[in-house]
Amino acid sequence: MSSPILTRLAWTGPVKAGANLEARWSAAHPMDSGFRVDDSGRQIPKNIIHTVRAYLNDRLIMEADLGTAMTSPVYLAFPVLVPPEGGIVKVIWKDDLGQMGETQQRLVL
Amino acid sequence: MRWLLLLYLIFGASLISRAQGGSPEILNLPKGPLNHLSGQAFLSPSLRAIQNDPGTNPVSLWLDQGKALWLGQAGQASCAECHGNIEKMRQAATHFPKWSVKQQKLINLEDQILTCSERTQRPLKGLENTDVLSLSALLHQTSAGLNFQIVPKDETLQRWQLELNEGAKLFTTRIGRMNLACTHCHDLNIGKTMRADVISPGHPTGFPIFKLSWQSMGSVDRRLRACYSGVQAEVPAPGSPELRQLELFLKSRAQGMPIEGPSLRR
Repeated sequence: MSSPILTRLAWTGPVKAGANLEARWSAAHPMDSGFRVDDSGRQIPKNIIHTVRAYLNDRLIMEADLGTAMTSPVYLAFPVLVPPEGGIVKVIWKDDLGQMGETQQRLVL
Repeated sequence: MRWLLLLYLIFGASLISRAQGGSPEILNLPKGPLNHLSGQAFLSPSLRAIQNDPGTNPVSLWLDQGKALWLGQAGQASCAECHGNIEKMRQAATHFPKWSVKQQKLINLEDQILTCSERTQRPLKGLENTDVLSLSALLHQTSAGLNFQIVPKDETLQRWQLELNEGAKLFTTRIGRMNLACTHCHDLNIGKTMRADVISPGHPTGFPIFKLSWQSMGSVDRRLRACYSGVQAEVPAPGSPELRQLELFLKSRAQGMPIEGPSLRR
């Protein structure tokens, strides 16, 4: 098993109904641009997270198509409007090797 | 004449400040001796801001993983089963590297984590393994504020002293195509620039580090190998005895400085 891709989802400020939070998602993905070489001079194939989608209570609120210029660890910040009943923010990602992952965090009022 | 003097003062002064960098990224190193500064003092203000906010600090990723491993996910062996609450391990990171009688070599904290994991259902592989670094980051975070306790045990005193002497010898021996020893940069030229970097005394108080140029976490083992590569010397294999001897020397050299926990570096 290869090393897990660590991800993290957190927000700034207190979670209150109607509050506009900044959600911060990051992932320690190697984000190999395809231009780098390994120690023996062989080219490392391109492998980046190309799609990130964020859902609030299963409703799509953010979709990002990322390119090779993205930093590693990937860091994205996006606004989340807290619904009156609270809910769950879910972020899913996909990379060029076909790996996928999911990070969930509950908005606790 | 007064006008000329005024013009000179304005433009002359601005030229000097530009030569020093003049940007908000300039380091404000304290006046006086620099040899007791930790790597933290050599962070630019913007990097320090990233480090101080857990929401932006990339180290948080590894700390979260460390906590998850310590407490254990469902059905998996956890560190807490044997070691209990992480707070009980506050002293753990302060004692390494130490002489292992069983293995007859110097071991550091990452070595110990690997040895420990071999007793579980899920042995970890490699010193720079994500999980090893996560646990090391968590343990160092827990030890933050404590001093290194680099002291030998009575029964292995002689061997320990030999290893420390070897470390001191490595620190002061010229190596590589650059023909430099550690001491030439990290004792004699602290605070001067080496390309775009300012040379620090090289105290290992902030490990494991998230190094921006690696785009990843790394242990003190990896950082020392990067130094070998920097002076264009033959890079020792991960876990080599000389890396542990150097770590032992560096930590005894940093006696009295508090552990700062996992840190951000350029």
